[in-house]
Amino acid sequence: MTQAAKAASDHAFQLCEVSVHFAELVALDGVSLTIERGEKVGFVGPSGAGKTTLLRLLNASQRADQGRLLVLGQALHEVDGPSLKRVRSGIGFIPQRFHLIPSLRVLHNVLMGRLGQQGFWASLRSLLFPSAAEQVAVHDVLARVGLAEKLFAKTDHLSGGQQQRVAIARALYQSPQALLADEPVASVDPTRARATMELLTRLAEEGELTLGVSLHDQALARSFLPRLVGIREGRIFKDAPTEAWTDADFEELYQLGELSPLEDGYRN
Amino acid sequence: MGSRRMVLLLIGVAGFLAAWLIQLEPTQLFGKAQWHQLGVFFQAALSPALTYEDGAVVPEGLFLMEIAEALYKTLIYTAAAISLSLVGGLVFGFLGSAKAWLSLAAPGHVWGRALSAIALTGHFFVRTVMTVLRSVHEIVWAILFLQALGAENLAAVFAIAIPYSATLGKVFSELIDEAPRAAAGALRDNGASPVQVYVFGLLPAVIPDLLAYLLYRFECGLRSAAVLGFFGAPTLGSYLSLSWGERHYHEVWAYLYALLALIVAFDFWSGAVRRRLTVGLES
Repeated sequence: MTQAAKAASDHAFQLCEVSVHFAELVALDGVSLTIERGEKVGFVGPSGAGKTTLLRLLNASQRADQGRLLVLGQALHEVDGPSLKRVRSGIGFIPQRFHLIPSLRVLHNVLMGRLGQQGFWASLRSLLFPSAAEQVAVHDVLARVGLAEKLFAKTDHLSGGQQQRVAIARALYQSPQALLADEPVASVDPTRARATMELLTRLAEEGELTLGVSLHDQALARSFLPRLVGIREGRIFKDAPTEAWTDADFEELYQLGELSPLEDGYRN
Repeated sequence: MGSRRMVLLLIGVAGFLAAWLIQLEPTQLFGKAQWHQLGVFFQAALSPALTYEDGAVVPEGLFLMEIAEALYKTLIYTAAAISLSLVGGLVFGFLGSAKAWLSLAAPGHVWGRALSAIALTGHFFVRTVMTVLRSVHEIVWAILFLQALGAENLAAVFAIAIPYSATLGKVFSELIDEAPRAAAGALRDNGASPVQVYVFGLLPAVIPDLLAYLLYRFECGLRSAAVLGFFGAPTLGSYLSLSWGERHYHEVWAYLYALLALIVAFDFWSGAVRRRLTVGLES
């Protein structure tokens, strides 16, 4: 089998009985999950259920304490520094709070998307003296998120929604094979939430990227994502095509456990 | 009694106790012939010299040139010392903050474990060295180097650069330690190497503060360089001590006013630069 054919046949992500612990807290408990290339998957569930931990696992930012984890065909328990870097740079991660550098211009924040693919001196040259070609490339990804005119704007002068699109552009500039977004609708204006989901799904379709999104909002999840994985208390509650999810499923997923709402909210 | 009143009372008691222990008597101030000398000195403040006080020896006008030369030398000594301190401060700051940086940047990285081991052992050492270097005043360093090197130029520059490097390094490493880490973490998660995380994720946030602090240290450096003139450096202090030795108080005041003018001018300029750093980056 050729390298390309092998890559094409690979799953984007494969988890086999994966568990993650933080001290005595079990964040994920024996999770098994396969996501094919080009799939669009929503991770739904109450806060503290383990959605962010799962996304960080998929991004190779979090180590699994038990189980087998394959990301972009790479088994993560056996990779060293350089391959880890390669895997991470193949996945665009959009953090919930964007995590841009506020004092820099949009251009520089987006340029940092490629750090994982450059050596130190190449990245220093690129950030201090971005070439015309690099500026055009950054301009192009900004155009895809509708922010082309903000190329030279200072990042902390942008609105929250615009900063989110800079974070998306930074992820796109990696030329990733997958996009992962952690609660992308939780930190923007509710009126912008639909626009954000539209943008993410459109970008995934245009670039034939695998998309993983964690979110609370079941209405948005149902209208934008064809497959939903429900997570509750660190376990997979239900993993099915969106049309197979019923209102009763969602009710059960978000239903609080034995604990009172207050205690539950402070448990983590 | 409230604890605040207690503290104020204790401070007052400590003050009187200290005065008593060193036999501080206000009566010592009265009835001394030195008062006359002091009066002459302060009267001279009203008419700083524009020419040499024993003008017969040298032609008119040269004294102003000499003031300019004193200021120029003070300035270039400071510039040399601060440039050297910046290099030293960056190295100290990098080493001093390496522990916190590596825990963020290199969990599981192939170099991470090796670097962490070096950083952990080096960290304590570097912070200790910085504290020792900082706690010795530049005048003591100057005297040491004048003894050892004899060459005044290098001695003066090193005397300032050594404690200043350590101070800059301390401030710089603390700025890095306190810098927001979220953006750096995001770069690491996108595949950036530990050095890239440091340079691109942490440094940009602290550069404005670091430059502002560097300008402040430059101002301190001007005063230090001037004072080191009394200990053999060819800066303003050496001119001052010559005039002082000859009791040319008008000349002394001219030098003092010139130093004041230099520092005020620098303060205005650096204030403008700092404002541009904090508000004007985008314009």
